[in-house]
Amino acid sequence: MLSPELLALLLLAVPLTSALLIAFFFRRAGTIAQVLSVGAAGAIALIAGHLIFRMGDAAVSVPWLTLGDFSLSLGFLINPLSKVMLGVVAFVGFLIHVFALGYMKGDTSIARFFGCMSFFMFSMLGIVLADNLAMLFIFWELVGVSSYLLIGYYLERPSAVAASNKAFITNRVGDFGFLIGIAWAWMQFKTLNLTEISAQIAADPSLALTGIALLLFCGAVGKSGQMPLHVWLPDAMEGPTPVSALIHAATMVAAGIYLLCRIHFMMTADALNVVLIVGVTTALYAGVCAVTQKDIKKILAYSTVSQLGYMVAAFALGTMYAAKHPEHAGHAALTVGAAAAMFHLTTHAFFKALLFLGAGSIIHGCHHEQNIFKMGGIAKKMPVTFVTFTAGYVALIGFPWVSGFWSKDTILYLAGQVSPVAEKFLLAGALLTAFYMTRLWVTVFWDRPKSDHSDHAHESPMVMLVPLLVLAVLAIVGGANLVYQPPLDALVNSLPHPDAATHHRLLVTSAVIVALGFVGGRLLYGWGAANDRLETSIRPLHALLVGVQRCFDVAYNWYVANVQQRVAELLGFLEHLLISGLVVRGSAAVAGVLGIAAKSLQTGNIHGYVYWFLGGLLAFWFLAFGF
Amino acid sequence: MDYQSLANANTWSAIAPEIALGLLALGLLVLEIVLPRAHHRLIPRAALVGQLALLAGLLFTISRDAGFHGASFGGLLVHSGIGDAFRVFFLLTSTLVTWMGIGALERQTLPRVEFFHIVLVVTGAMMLLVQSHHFVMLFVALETVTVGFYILVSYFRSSTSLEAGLKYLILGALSSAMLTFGIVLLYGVAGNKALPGASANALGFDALHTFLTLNAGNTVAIIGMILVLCGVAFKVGAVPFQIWIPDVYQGASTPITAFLAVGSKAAGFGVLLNLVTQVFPVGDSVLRHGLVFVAGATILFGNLAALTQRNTKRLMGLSGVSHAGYLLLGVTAATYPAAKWASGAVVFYLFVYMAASMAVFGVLSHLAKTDDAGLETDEFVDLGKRSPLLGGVLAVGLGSLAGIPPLAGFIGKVLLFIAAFQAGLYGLLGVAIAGVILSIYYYFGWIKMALFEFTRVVPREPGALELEIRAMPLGGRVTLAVLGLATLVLGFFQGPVSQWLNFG
Amino acid sequence: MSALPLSTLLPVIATISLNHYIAVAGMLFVIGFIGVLLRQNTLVIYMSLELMLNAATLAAVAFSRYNGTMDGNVFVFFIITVAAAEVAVGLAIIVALFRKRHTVQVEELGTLKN
Repeated sequence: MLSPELLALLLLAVPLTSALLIAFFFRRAGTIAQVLSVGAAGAIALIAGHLIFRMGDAAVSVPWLTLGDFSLSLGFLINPLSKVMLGVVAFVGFLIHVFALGYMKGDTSIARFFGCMSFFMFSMLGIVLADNLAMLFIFWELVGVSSYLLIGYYLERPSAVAASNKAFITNRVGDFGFLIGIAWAWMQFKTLNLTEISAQIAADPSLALTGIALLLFCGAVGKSGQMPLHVWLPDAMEGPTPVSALIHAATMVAAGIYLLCRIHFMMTADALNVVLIVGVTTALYAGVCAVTQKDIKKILAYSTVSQLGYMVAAFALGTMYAAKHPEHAGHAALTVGAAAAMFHLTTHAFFKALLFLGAGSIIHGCHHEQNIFKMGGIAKKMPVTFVTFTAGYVALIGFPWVSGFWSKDTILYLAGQVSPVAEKFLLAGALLTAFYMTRLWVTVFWDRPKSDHSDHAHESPMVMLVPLLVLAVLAIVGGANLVYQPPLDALVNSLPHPDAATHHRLLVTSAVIVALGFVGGRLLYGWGAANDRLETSIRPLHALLVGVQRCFDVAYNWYVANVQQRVAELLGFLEHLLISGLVVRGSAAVAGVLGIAAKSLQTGNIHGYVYWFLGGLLAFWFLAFGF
Repeated sequence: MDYQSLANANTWSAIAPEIALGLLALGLLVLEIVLPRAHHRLIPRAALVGQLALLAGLLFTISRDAGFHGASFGGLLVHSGIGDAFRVFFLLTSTLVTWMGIGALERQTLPRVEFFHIVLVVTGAMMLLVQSHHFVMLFVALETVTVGFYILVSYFRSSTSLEAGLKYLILGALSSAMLTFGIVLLYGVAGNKALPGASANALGFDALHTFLTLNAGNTVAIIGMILVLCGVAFKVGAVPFQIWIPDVYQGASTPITAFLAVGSKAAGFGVLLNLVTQVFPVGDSVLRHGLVFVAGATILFGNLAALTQRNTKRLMGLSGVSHAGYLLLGVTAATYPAAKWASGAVVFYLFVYMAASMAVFGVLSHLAKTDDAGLETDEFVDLGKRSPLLGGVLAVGLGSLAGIPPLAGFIGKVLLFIAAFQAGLYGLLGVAIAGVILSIYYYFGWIKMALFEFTRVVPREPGALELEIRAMPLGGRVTLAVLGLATLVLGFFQGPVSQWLNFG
Repeated sequence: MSALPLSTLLPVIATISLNHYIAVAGMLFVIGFIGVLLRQNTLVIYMSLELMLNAATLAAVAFSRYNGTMDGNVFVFFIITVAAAEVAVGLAIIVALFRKRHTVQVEELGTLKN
């Protein structure tokens, strides 16, 4: 009766219904919209739970568009990989919906917010369940739209509007490559169904092309904020904090990682090298950027970019490892690469959502102050937030036996087995992570309040604290096997386990790295500081770091201002000449030669029209018989 | 063949839908005589109900696969899946035209019943036209359609309506004369016993196809084919036989404009598809080059001429020319063995085009002033604000015509373009894509005018250009909403429709 | 000159080949087309259109005779019938237009344009 595909359909129908109801009927009714949207998120979590734990795998596909030998189909592919992602999206999504109830309280256009959130859930679940690239791309674009709408949620802020535009445009760059990749894949495989492509490649590995793999990876680069398209993600923090937690930390930005895992069979060795380089560079570079940030959300955003780099690297490293050690090839749907990436994705979803929600709680408590150097002393004012945030903090820096430790160490282990250079870089990234997070943690929570806002900080209401507590527990224990009940155990079982000696070496390395980062942060920032000590004491280094962080924006801005703007101005001029001149002013004086000419051909005189007929006859005559 | 066996070949049940339409048309006239004058306003509604019932019956028959397929009336007609699709298409079109006509005629003091009667007769003739398999049948059906349209175009008897009627009359008769002469030439040359493959049944499609394939270079045959295609090109509005379109569309009342734009054009395409895939050996001949050139020119002309057009009825006419161009692209692709399924894509596009056009024309018809000579795009300012339904449906219809992704028009165009790609018509494909880009300008200009206040360039003086928006009855609102929704849904989900239209 | 008896005409007619008939039909068609192109009066244009249809009729009869099939003759009946319907409708439109505009000259019927 309850089949997996029915549940999958229900998963899409529930949030879509909620979004449509809010859009059409409850635009002004904030309370109803809240209930609908959070109810939908709860229903999604329940249905997803049933689908994950009570249902088997499924691959269904219904023809969507069939004409002759051309056909497109819609369908769901439910396997361990999509179940893991589904679990993350449904569960974390629900918690963040609940949190948003408290955070968004009193906002004037709350219905719009919750409508967009439901729409986002719909699109995101579509990505998770899609069984072919065309359908995936459609939902991919839809999450882009909902992200755009939510980043620009505070319409009155010009910076929010600019940020949403930046996100949208940057993502289009990646999606353009993605689209070309899909078209190429269709020409290569004559189908876009993932199962069929996988079967084709299994039969003939030479069908997998580096070009297709890299073009598809372009989509992931855009969505998951990999270099050089990472610039939109820090700016995207203009959106409400629950949005940052849900979309720009836990789920949507991870869609790129999920895409890579979903198409792992299309990867070639060359493509994997590129993927690895991009991932490792991003992991390190974003860590460097995070060091100089003062806005609490921007620090977390760069940290997200960095961790996404780890996931991309994890995918590449794991896949390379499996190629080297065929005995560890892993589950059919969850190869070593996919498992490593998804494991870190999952733990990251827990602790990064927690950190963002914690930051949201702090911002909420501090009356929308976001500069960490104007906070301070929050630990006493907001004890629950402090404890939960600390849980996220230790998880992120990879403190031993906490969730982030397990997933990050898996990555480091794989790197050690496959690419020692990558390992060095990733270790450096981990060091940076520990450093900048310590900087954040001590500055925000310790010492005395440094502004009126933080002086008057107050603890958030229960509706915000409960999600924090749940996520805090998960951030601590999220790396343990017992969290992953069958069938999710495939996630941890697919990973190779280091032998005892290596395990100890990794443990020690991690501990040392964390300690070094922590001590570094403490030395520089003590128990909190009113200004950025790095900026005041080691000025050249700070300037260098800021320069490194800004160079992409500067380069893009230069390109936009000097190249694109010129072209746009030229086009605008032409448009003004052709369109505004003619259509808007309606003046025939400004010549739009073709349009006017075509228009003036209709003289209204029948004889003129008969000449057209004669001309047509003669033209055909000459075409047939020559002159 | 003696008369008895000829009579036995008549399969009357095969044309049951057409007969039923004819009876319905006659029934309307009878009702006018029988009913007291006070109840005459019920007659158009009876026509509407009758057509809906017929549509239901037709769909039921098709879904049960119970319709008659094969030749009937000694080969005059051949019934097939594509014919059934066109039957549904024309019946839907006539139903919508009847609906619009009821609204439009309520504002006029004119005899009513004849209008609906002629619409029904023309619809029946269009159904027979696309299923005809013999040139005499084709001629009679085509002329029934054409003569019916002469009356309908000038039906409102205003000065502009009559001028449009006269223009349509003269140019239509001219094209009919060319078509007739072409048919006669084909008949003469294909019956000539001195030539290989000559047949005694030279007007039948099959025999003619055999003959034309064997005599590819015959001059008289080529002239005949050119003349016939010119006659059909007039119907579909292909360059250079498109020139009548804006004038006639503007002069005719909006329901009839819609009928011309959707029904008559689709009938032309039905005939054209039959001719180029079944009768004329297009092969690699000049005919194919001609089709390619005409398709390209039609796309470009329609879009360029529409760029500067501000009268909405003329705009719909000119943009309709460009849609005829896209459809010609599909028809051309269908002549390649690699893309035989393109005929299905053409029919699908016709359905999509109907839903979107009827949505736009429905709005236009409702907003039309008494002279019904077409509104200027400027007059749509604030439409979305004053009537969200009208503005929304208009935007969805225009967006679909422009081919904006989630809407049905996008899928329709994509299918045509894929077919063209498979057929290797790369140059034409480039022209078509350029045309689509051009079209976005004028469609969006209109949408912006109707929906977005801030695009208004000149502040409007109070009272100037104020468009009167009449209240709309529930049925009308539901119909418009259904058209908009159909356009939306067909963009996401084609499922059974695309399978049904999969003619291969 | 008095009318020739049919018996003297028959041998002459027998020497007229199909090509002659078709040439005449073609000329009629072209003359009709030129008439449509050049004449100003709508009624005359309409007559020219009928002339083009008659060209088709003549060709059909000639072909029918030469090919030895009756289809052409049957087609002629249909052409004549349809032409009659067309004329009935067409003249009605022209008369109605004349009542509104008081002219049937083509160059004065150009309000619908551009």
